[in-house]
Amino acid sequence: MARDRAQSEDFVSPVRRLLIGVLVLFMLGIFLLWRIDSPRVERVRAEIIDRVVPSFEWAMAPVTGLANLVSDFQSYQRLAEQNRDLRRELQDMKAWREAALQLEQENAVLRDLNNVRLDPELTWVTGVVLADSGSPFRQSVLLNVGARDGILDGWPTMDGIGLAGRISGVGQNSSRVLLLTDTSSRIPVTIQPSGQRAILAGDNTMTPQLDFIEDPDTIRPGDRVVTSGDGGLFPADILVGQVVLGTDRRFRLRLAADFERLEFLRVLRSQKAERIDATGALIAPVSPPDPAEQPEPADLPEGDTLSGQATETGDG
Amino acid sequence: MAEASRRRIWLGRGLYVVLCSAIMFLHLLPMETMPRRWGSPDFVLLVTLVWTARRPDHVPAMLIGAVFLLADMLFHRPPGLWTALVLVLTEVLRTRSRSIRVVPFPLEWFGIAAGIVAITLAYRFTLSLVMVPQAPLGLTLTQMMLTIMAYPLVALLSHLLFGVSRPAQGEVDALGHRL
Repeated sequence: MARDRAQSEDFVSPVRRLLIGVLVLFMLGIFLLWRIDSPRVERVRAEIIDRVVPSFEWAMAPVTGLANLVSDFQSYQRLAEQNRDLRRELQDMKAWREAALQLEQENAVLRDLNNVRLDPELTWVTGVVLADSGSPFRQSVLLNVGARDGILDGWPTMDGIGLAGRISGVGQNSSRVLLLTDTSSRIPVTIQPSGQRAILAGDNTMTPQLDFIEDPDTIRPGDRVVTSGDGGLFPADILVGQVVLGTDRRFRLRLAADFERLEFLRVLRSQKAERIDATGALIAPVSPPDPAEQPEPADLPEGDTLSGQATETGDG
Repeated sequence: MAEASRRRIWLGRGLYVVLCSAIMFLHLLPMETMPRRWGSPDFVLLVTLVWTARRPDHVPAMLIGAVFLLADMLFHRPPGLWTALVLVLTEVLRTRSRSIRVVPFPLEWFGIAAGIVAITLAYRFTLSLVMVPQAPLGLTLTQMMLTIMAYPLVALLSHLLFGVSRPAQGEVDALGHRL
């Protein structure tokens, strides 16, 4: 008996060593494959997460709910204080609401005067946050909407107020949102009053930094930052946050989205921006339009305004 | 008798898998979407190391490989690299598990700490070699330190809750097998 066990514990037997070697090499092979051909392996990863995580959902929802209940209960203790604060805030907000209504009317009138057409195709899908990245090194969350709901890679996501991140990795029923705070997140932005372009680079802190600013002198803390729409990556003019001056004397961004509690996220259906490659293509189409691509009768008014605008430009 | 021994081993393996999936599940809960300044200890690694040092036959290499590959996939780490390093470390521990049992606990702790430092450095070095963007160094270092400091705690808990203790030399279980 004892002899048997001693034999079975002969861990240095050559066959075993060979098998372990093969296993380690296999793992390193996966790593190299990932490094060389990342998108394919990432797709496999999305597939695996899509299988594994939603099967946890039945347990995740109550546990998360319970934890939130506990933190809510802690906040009940400060209820009176909170109530007073909220009432004061509400007073402020009422004044702001009036101002906003007036501005909205004014804005509508001005838009009408200028014949501005807003992008009508910016609709969204709302998803529930299923899980976070599970490690302090990556900042991402998993949503319960995926390819089934028509989600595509690269679409921007926001909570009600500001940009939160972009879709990277879509499974059948789930998709991963790479948050703006992740170290590999880079977003082209515009800093509002000065109109300067910059790149918002996440660095695993609460305040991502603004890179490649051309003229830092024109930027002041408190400036609004919106997406610039450069490179056709995102639709333009989504609010991202406010400029702050970091302790390291670099310009950073306080994000407008509430990252403390991401529960629901909107995925914006970002349409491919039209590209104008050839000069003159804007005024007249280079090739005669294909009859198959003629606008349907329902779209005719749109076509009319467009042509009207074109003639206006031509006249001017 | 061999039957009972095999059942014990499979129970141990099942327990290990359940424990690791529970830890991963807790990590995945969307409680914290803010970036943190410190990394929490890597409990999956700790459980694996405690088990390997004390009950090597409950954690076969294939099982460790499968668990860590899944963790790599779920936690968005570069897949495979961390798994390979952990496999190498556990194999080193496995071949020495007999001698680890006879040394006093602080020495065991020191050995494990050296192993954790070695694979963490190798991990970062390899990532910088193939130019993968990395998390801040401070985060990795705090996680490494906390993982090392949590080792006695995990060892104690697994002893109290799951009976995974350091067997004395020549100790036998209820059925008379040598542990």
